[in-house]
Amino acid sequence: MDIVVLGLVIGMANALLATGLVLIHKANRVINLAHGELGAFTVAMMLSLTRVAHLNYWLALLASLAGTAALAAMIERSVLRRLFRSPRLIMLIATIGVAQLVIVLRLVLPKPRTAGGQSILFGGGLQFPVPFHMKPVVFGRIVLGPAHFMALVAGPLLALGLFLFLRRSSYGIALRAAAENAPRAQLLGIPVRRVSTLAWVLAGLLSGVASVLLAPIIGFTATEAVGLPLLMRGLAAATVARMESVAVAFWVGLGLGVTDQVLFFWLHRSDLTDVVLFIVILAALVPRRARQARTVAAEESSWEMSDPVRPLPIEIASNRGWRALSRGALVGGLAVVAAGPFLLGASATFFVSTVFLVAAVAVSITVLTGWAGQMSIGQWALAGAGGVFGSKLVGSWGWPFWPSLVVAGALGMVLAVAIGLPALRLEGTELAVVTLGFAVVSASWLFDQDWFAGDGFMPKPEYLTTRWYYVAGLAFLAITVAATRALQRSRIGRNTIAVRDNPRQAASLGVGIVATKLTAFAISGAIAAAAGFLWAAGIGLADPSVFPPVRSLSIVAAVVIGGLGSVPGAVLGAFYMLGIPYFGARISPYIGLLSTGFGLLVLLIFLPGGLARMAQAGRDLLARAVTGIDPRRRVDSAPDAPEAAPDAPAAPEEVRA
Amino acid sequence: MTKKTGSPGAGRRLRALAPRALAGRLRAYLDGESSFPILVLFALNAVDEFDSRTFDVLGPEIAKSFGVGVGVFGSITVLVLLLVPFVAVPVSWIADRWKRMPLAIAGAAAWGAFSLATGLAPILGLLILFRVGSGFGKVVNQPVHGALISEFYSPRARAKAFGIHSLANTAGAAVAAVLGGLIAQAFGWRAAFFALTVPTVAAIALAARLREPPRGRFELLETPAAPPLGQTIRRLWAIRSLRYQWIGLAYTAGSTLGIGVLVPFFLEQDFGVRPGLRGILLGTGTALSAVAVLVGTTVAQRKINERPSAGLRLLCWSGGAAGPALLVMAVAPPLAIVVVMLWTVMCIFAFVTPGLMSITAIVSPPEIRSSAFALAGLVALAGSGFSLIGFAIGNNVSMRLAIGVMAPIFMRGVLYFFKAATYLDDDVERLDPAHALKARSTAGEESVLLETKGLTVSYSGVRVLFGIDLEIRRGEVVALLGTNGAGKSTALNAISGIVEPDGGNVWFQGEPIVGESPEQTVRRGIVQVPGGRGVFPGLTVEENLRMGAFLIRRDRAVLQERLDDVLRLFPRLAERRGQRAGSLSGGERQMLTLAQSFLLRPTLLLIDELSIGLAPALVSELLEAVRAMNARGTTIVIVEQSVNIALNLASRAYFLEKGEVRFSGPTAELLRRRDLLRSVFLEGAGARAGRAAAPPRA
Repeated sequence: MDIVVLGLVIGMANALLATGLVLIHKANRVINLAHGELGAFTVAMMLSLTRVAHLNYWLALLASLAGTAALAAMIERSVLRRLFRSPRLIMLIATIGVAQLVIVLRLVLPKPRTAGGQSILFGGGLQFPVPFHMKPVVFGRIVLGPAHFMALVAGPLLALGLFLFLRRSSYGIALRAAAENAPRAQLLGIPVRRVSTLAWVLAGLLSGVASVLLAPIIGFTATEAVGLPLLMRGLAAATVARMESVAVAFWVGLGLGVTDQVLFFWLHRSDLTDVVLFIVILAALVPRRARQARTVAAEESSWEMSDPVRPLPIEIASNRGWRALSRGALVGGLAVVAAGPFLLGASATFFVSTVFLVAAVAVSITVLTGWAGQMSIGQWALAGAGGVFGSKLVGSWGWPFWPSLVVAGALGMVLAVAIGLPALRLEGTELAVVTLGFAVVSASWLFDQDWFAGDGFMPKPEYLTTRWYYVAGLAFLAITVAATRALQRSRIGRNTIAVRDNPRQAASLGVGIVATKLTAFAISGAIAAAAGFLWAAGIGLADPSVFPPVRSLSIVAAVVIGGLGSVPGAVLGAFYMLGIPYFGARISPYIGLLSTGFGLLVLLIFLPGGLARMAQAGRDLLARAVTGIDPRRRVDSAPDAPEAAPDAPAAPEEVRA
Repeated sequence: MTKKTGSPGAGRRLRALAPRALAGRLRAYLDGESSFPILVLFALNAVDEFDSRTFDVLGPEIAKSFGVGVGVFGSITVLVLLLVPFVAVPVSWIADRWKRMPLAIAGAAAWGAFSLATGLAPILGLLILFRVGSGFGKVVNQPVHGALISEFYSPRARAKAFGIHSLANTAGAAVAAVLGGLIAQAFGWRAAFFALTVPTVAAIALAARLREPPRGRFELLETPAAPPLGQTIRRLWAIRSLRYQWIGLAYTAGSTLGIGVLVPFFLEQDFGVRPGLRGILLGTGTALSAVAVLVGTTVAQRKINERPSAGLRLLCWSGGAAGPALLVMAVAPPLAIVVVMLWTVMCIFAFVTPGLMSITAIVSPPEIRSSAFALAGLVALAGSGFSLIGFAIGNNVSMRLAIGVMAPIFMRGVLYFFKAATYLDDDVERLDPAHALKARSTAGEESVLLETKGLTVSYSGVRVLFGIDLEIRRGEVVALLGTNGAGKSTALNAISGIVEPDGGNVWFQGEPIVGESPEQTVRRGIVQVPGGRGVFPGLTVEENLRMGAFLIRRDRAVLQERLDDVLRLFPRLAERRGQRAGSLSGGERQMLTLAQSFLLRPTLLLIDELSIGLAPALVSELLEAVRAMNARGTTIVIVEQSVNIALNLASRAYFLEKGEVRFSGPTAELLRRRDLLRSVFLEGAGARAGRAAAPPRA
């Protein structure tokens, strides 16, 4: 009983987080990946205001919640509103950019300091302010303090308030109405956009309250890795509730809290929280089939951002001048890349090598997302699995290096298929939830398990000096790109894209949807894990700290910035993602997150084609200057342009009309 | 900055008034109204322009004596301009409440003093302060003089009075450039400002003899009251030709301002032109541009009268010529070419400005016209950021580069004006009082509720509507017919604001509504019933109805009354109040959709595909409800694929094909047009229409 009470306290926070997620999903049909970050922001603001500015608790709480609400409203107005008519997947990716920016915002808030002037980055629950002090009540095996009583009182009240709001108030019903049929709601004079802002404000408040209730109980940290675990707490319950029912989400959240605590006291292990949540998510998704399209089908099906790089028309491609130029550029480019280790210093050489490997991971996302229409936001965790298990193989068991690479790749393949299985029948965004769960679980649990992980170090063969490591990275990327290009042109590639664009039609033409999707998962997982193996060998480390879940989000951002669905775009994106922090570290320690988050949003809103599209515009201009033929005009008048062109999936849909 | 200029034909009249009995001529020119007030205001305005132009022309000398470059000097000019709107708003507020003649005199005295102080300024800080002070001169001249002229002169003579008043700018500038330059060369720049006090005192002495006019004596039955500021801005911004002109103005005005400050420095630094010659050069340019103003007013006005967009395009092309001229000026080695180019540019600016003002005037609604001018001024100020770029380059790199950089900025602005021209004719049309008159027609039935003209819609570049003209009279039921893809639903969507048309106009009750969002049109009383998906499936029937009544949710009594009413019309919905709308049958959903729409008691109901996929018995029930709505005064436009249903309900029909109206008229007439019906519908379908209540779909 005592444990159940503690579980209820924690469950209350889960429940509030979950209801907030459901609320935003109702309003925008998107899983808000920044949801946890909003709560983490409230906590950080509370800390700054109470411990740095020494404000009264209630004033600080008020200010923090107001700040969070304003932030949420701003996010809705500046990002989500602009993507109002975009596919759900694009909105989902946009929330990744939002999450990154909120992280930066949180990290730059002044942190409380110790007497010695050091910033306090971690703190137990007792260090977090509470509104009143009381003699702790001992109840069975647990001690209840003010924080617990607050949660038990505030939680149910808030939930009840939300429930009544949605059921009874005009704006509450309008919120549900707008979620179901926004155009019709507009025609009836319902201020659809204002309603959506309202949903974000409410969700921000819920996330904020939940996090402030939770912080005095489970403690707080001021690192990047706060928001995602918070998100997971809500996500599990919200997934069970199918992102639809606030009530179900609330009760499941409570139940999960109790389960979590019971397990904790039973097994005496504290690292299982995320595992439980992950299992719940899997369990909730497996039996579910793709929903009968109750909302607009078009909203969900067309997900692609825009057509990736278009092939040049045959007149230009076969033009002598152009061919000479492009061959020259190719040879020149290869020469520059090959000469890299001799031109660059050791640290720059090493940096470029890691870019190659991260680019390979980005390419693996392209295979999954760009072709199969499935979104993985846990790809860096797959890479981590390769690296961490590799350290077990090479470091602990003394296996030879290259065979271990193959085994790591095979492991990635198996893991990717295993993770992908439950999401097979579902739309792209559900796989995102599963992979996110995997990323969080692997960092907090899997990579720490003795049977899976080595000692945290990853040896590499002596002969892999910096220069040879560069060659290895380059070769790996080259093979990956060549293989994926070949694959794209093969039957598998065509099937994959066909299944993405129109699964029903593909199935009716005899393309096995399940087999095709699984193939894409397997290939993608193998690439990621093998790349992770090599990456870990380079830096010599393979533990959870170098494979954080946040990184997975950054890589997704990189792929989108490069141009979703385009292989060269993925490489470009990786350079963008790693290059800016590498060269700009002196400007700000957060420049990496800032540049990916900001770049992501700018691209999604203004340049949905990504860097690859911009490069294409440049190429077209050049081609026109060299050959005098306008590439655009030709392609428009001849839609059946040469099929052999590598980066042109069939029938690109213009989504952002 | 832009200048206000004279009315059409002012050139001819100006020549007439130049000699001999000036006052008498002026009186005749002003339709017999007294010429004294305008002479006084002319003097005040000219002296103010005198002051600011002198400061510009003598820029290099002033800057040198304080040891600063063009960067700081230009920033002072921009700073003074930027402060103007912040002071102008309170001043115009005061002008609306206090006596204005004393205000005008006090203003003149104040900037006269500051102008004198400019000549005495010992340090840079004080100079800046004095310039800001004398900037108040502009503040008083714009709103206060404008209001005064409107009170002194009746609407008929007003435009001419405004023309004379704004000629003071050109005259003051020309005299200032020549006289200021010469005085400065002979006695130093400070002397020029001392000399200014003489005409200022004279102007004030004249002004003291003028009596305050009674307020509002000509405004007995004029335009409606101006709406609050926020609404004014929204209404003006919705006028696309105006919007693009403003964006363009930010570029052109910004670069023009930059050039105005840079040129004296350019002449001084690169060619060593001393103040006297510089004054003569700029003065000549100003005199030439005075001619250009007069020519421009006439030529542009004639073109605008022909067709507004043609007038604007003419102005764009002439303005565009200034770009190359600027570039030539920036690279040309000899002074002679530079000067010729400079005069060209000055003349072009002067030629273009009055035309642009009159275009702003014809597209902005009369009651907010002055706000349109004020906002245009603000936008132009926002563009002054561009001039700062020029000053920075001029200061640190070279004057030539700075002027060269201004040219493309200017050209970018000109392109926006071209874009504005594409929307101009539609926007002029939208204010045509004929449409408002049609709507206010007293002949009851004849009054036009909704009118569209030239409505054109494209989806991502593919045009689907090609200039649709509709006219729906109050109380009518009108059918829009046509095949799939004829553009019927698109026409409805363009009226309700779901899609934004790229050309044409929509008037509802005489007011232009193009560019408004669905939320706004619903508030006006236009409610659209979408085809097929009109309900919220996850909400209960009752909640669905509440959403239909969202706009009247605060008025409980009315809400309840209308709910009862609607449920009486559709008793089946009352039985299923607690049921989810998703579980209703197709017919019941369509009833619910209609019920939602009826709750708002629309003035105009746009029904899209009422009968789609429904059994005939149900359709007739729905038709009854629609008829009942119509009987209560709601005008109805119904889009149908089924000719029979449409003709059964409607008295008049429009027949659309491939985005164009192919037929319009009474339904009986349409039935005789077998060619139309046969081309689209199965033969014979039309023949039976009008008899059976709801025969099978054609």
